[in-house]
Amino acid sequence: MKLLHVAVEGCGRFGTPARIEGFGPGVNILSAGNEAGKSTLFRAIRTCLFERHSGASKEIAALATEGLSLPITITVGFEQDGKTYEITKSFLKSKSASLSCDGVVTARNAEADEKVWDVLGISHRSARALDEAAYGVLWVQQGHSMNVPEPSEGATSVLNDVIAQEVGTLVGGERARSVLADVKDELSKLITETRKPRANGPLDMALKENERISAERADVESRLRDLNDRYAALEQLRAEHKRVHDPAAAEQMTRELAEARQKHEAAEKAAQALLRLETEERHAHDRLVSQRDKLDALRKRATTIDENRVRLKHISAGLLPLAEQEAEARTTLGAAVAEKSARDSAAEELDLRERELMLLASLAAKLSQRGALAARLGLLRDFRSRLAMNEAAIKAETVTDATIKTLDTLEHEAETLRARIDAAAARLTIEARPGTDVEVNGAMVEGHVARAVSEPLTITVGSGVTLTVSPPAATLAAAEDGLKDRRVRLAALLSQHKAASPTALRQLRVARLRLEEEARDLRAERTALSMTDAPGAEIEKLEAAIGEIDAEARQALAANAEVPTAAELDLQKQKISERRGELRAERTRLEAIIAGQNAALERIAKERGTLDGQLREINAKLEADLAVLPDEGREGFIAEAQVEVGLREATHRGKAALLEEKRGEAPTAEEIERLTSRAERLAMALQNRAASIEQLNQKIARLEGEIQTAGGDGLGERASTLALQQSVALAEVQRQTERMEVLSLLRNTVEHCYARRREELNAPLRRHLKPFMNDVFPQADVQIGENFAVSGLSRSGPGSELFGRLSLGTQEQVAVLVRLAMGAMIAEKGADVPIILDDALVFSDDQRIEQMFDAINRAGKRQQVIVLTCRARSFASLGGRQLQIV
Amino acid sequence: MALRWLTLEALLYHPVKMRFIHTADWQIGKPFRNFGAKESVLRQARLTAIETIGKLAQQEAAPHVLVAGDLYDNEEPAQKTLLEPLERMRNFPAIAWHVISGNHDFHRANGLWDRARSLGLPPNVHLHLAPEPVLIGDEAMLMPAPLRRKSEATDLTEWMDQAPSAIGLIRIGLAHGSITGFDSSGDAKNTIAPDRAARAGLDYLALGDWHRSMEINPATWYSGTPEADRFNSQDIGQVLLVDIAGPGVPPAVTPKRTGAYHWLTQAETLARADELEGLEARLRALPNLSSLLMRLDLTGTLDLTARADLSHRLEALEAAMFWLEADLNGLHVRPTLEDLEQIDFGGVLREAAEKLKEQAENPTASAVERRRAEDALVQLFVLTRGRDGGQAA
Repeated sequence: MKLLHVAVEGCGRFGTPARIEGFGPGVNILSAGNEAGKSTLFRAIRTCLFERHSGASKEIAALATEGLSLPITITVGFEQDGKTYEITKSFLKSKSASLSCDGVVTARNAEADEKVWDVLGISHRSARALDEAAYGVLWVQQGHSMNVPEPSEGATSVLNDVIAQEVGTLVGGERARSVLADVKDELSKLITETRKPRANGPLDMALKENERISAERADVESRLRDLNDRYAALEQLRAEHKRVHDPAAAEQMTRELAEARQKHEAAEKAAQALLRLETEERHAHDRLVSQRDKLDALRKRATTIDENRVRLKHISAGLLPLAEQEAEARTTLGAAVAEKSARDSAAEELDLRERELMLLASLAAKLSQRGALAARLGLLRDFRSRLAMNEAAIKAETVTDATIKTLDTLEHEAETLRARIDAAAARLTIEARPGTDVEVNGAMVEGHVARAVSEPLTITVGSGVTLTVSPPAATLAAAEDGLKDRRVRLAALLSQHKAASPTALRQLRVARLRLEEEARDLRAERTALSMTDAPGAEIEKLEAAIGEIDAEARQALAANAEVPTAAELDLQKQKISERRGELRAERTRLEAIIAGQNAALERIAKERGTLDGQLREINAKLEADLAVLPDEGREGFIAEAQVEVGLREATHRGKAALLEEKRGEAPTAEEIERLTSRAERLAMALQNRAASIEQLNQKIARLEGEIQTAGGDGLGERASTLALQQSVALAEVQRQTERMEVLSLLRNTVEHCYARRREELNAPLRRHLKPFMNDVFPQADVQIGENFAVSGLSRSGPGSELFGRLSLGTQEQVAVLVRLAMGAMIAEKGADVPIILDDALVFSDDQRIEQMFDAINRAGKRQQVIVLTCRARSFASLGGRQLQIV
Repeated sequence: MALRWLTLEALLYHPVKMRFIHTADWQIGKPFRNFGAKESVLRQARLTAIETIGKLAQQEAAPHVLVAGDLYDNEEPAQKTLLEPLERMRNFPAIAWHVISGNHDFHRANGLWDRARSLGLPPNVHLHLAPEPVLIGDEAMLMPAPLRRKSEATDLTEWMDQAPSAIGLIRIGLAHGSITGFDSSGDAKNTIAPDRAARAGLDYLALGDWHRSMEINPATWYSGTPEADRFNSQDIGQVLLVDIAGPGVPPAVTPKRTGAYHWLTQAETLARADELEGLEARLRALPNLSSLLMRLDLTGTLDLTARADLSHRLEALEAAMFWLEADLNGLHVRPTLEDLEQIDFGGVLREAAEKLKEQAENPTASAVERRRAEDALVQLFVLTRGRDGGQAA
């Protein structure tokens, strides 16, 4: 294919129709500045040739002119196999396509899309593949010139086809690559690059299914085990139930219980009969003892009666001397009591006199303090007087610091106003020469005088001249108003404090300061006088104290001729004390006498009371005993009781003999206890048995319920199904794993063989590359790796340099040369495509770029090469046809 | 049921004879997941077999059907599974179905048989879950030996030796297990003495457990399953129609087909491509392909072309049969020169094919490695053959 012309509209910066003309065989160069739209134009060529007109990909949309709603219209003219074609396509809006051959339209729309591919010999697989296959390889896109070609799938096919034509089918590279692609595709459905199962792929799904089944199976089998455990437990319980529920054993136990109860009942009856006999025997014994006691009592009572009669005689004889002793003691006691009463009266009089002496002593002490109190009273009265005068004076003097401050402010403001008037006033200067009479407001002026005219001035010069100078009326009035205000406020201040002048006011302030100093002195004096209350209250307290002392003195003088002295008082006190001691001694003696007589009387009363009591008691007892056992018939009563004792002894012996006899026949208490215990044990055993059966019934019922619940959902069947299902799942895992292994083996084997044949596969490209390399890098050789990738460069020496470590310029040059070689290789087979270099060789120096121009021109001999550049001067020596955008 | 003594007079004027159907191993509820979507069909077929038995009993005027265990496949079936065979038996009210438990559906308290009872057994279904003699009809005494656990260590039929019976009654044993010595491994469970019938004076011992009809001795038979369920066992399901003319008279046993599906296992050895045609023809000639389940074990060696051809033929046969399960593990591939040329005359793929061939034939490689190399070779062959640019002649 050779491009002939390109026209665009609504495309990139070309909103209006634009066209590139001048294409020809060989090298073509389009020099234009940046942003001229070179790249846009060639993207348009690619789009027009290889995109369907109905497409709306991002690449197509990116071509549209911004701000215009025009369709993208592209026309490409080209020559192929001796015929001239023109393809025109409108994208995005008013979509259409039209292909003409030698001026005749041969296809439209979709047909035109595909027919142009047929003309170019490109498969229809996809627009993308077309682009990459026919153009991507040989298009050095702006900014990518240093990148080595990375042919896409389609592009590789094109290259491989060309190579296959040259090296024949012996290498089979394209077939191998195609098979390998299919194998990898199949393998990629199973595993990832890292050999992990591909998510949602067949292997992954099989593994997941197996995991899912495993989990469910584990759950179901666990539940099934639980169920079987319950069955086992149920079987055990039923066996236990059968054992416990044995009717023969139950009957045996019931029979034994009945026998035990029967024996126990008989034993109980025998025991009760024995108890009754024991009661009767005890009763007979009690009656015997009672009668014996009665006989003893009669005998004892008779003895007591006789003894009490003897005691009565002895007590009556002891009462006579006690009456005489009592009368003597009462006489002595009366005399001692009277004497003690007289001594108590004397002591009371002494106490009274002693209290009087104490009062007199207190009065004497107070009188000795009265003088001091009177002196303090005088001082306080004087202080109170001075204090009152000071307070009155301070109250009268009202001039404070604030008053003086107000006065100062008013005077200062007035002075300021006056100064301001003077400053604003005109200045009058008079120079009175000697001998000239000059008066100002009547005052004579001599020499030099200067003053402000702040008020009307009358100047008289000599007797004949009188001048009057007045300040401006308005200025004067304003100043006067201020001064007048100050004067009024000053007068009010003076009047408030009753001062004639500011000086007087200040004197009043001095006087007040003096009074304040005096007040401070009075407060200090008050502190010195130790006054806790106000002076008036203190004075009143002192007056009351003095009055009280005087009153007491008057009262004492009224009772005594005079107030005794302290010595006199002490003497009197001593006498009273001595007399009191004497009285106390006598009183103590009398109290001892009284106590002794009282004790004697008490003893006598006690002895007589005791004897009287004994008499009453013996008489009462004697009377009672005689009532029971009178003297007459005493012997008869005793004999009768004696006979009754004999009868009861006989009865008791009979009962005791019968009891002894029955005791030998009846069961012992231990036997009865044993029988009771056995009956209870057997009854308990039967109860326990019933309870056990009930418990077992409940457990069995519960287990049956659980089994019914658990077994009803077909657990066993489910487990069986899952087991089989898992074996199927495992087989599928195995199958997919095996398939993966087989595909991996196939891939590895083909890849290995492919690598071994790489040199043969790359030989055609190397052959075509050699002349181009010779133009730029003589003696150098390029290492071509997998998929036509340039891996290194050998220049001088045995070693080679890695492509990535070459300078950017060298990388760029080698990459462009490889493309030129690829183009030459394709062109040689008659399927040439244009090589388009869009702003390539940007890193090349002057010398190297010249060599690259040689290589490009070499390529241009066989095919069309289109160079787009913004560096017109650098590319001037490239030669070739100049293209223009019109 | 109390035992009755027949009088001599009764015997003279009413000679005793007995006809019944002997079956076993229905294994209702057995899963067939390995058959994919066909599972439901195979499960349904086992239920249909019950109806077939019922109809056969009616046709043959056999009033009793003895089921010698394993009516169910599992001791804990789902409710629906539990009910399905009972309901089918209910549909034949004139037939008395006598059932014992087997190792798959052994009896235990509150187990599946108690569940079945609680759901309400059809009146014509008689469960014999205890080793007690039971009169069936006026002619025979049935001595069942039900299993009460999956694996019994003792011979459950032993009690029959001492079991009394009335003079003139036919004695029939019903049991489930392995005849002693049947299992070559020697660890068989639920064993039954092979001479039990003779020892216990049984006129017939109806056995279950073995899924293939088999005569142990003239009076001892395994009925087999009424619907086959596995390869390498009974090809097609059947039951036994048993006639006993009287006590002490040898029974007349007639197998009767009841199965709908034919389970066939076939082994074939292949050596040449031209044998494929014959193999396919033989398989296609089998009767009722649509109800045939086949396991095809293939051995031998084929070239790549024939191997690919075999795959196509098997695909077609798989569609023709109810189920085809081909085991190709024993079938090896050895590429011919033509095979290799079909892959490529030279170049990368040819070299790869040669390497794989070498690996497939490498005696030092493991069997798995050799098998994978063969499969990879087949894969390569298929991929290249289907390619436009292939070298196919």
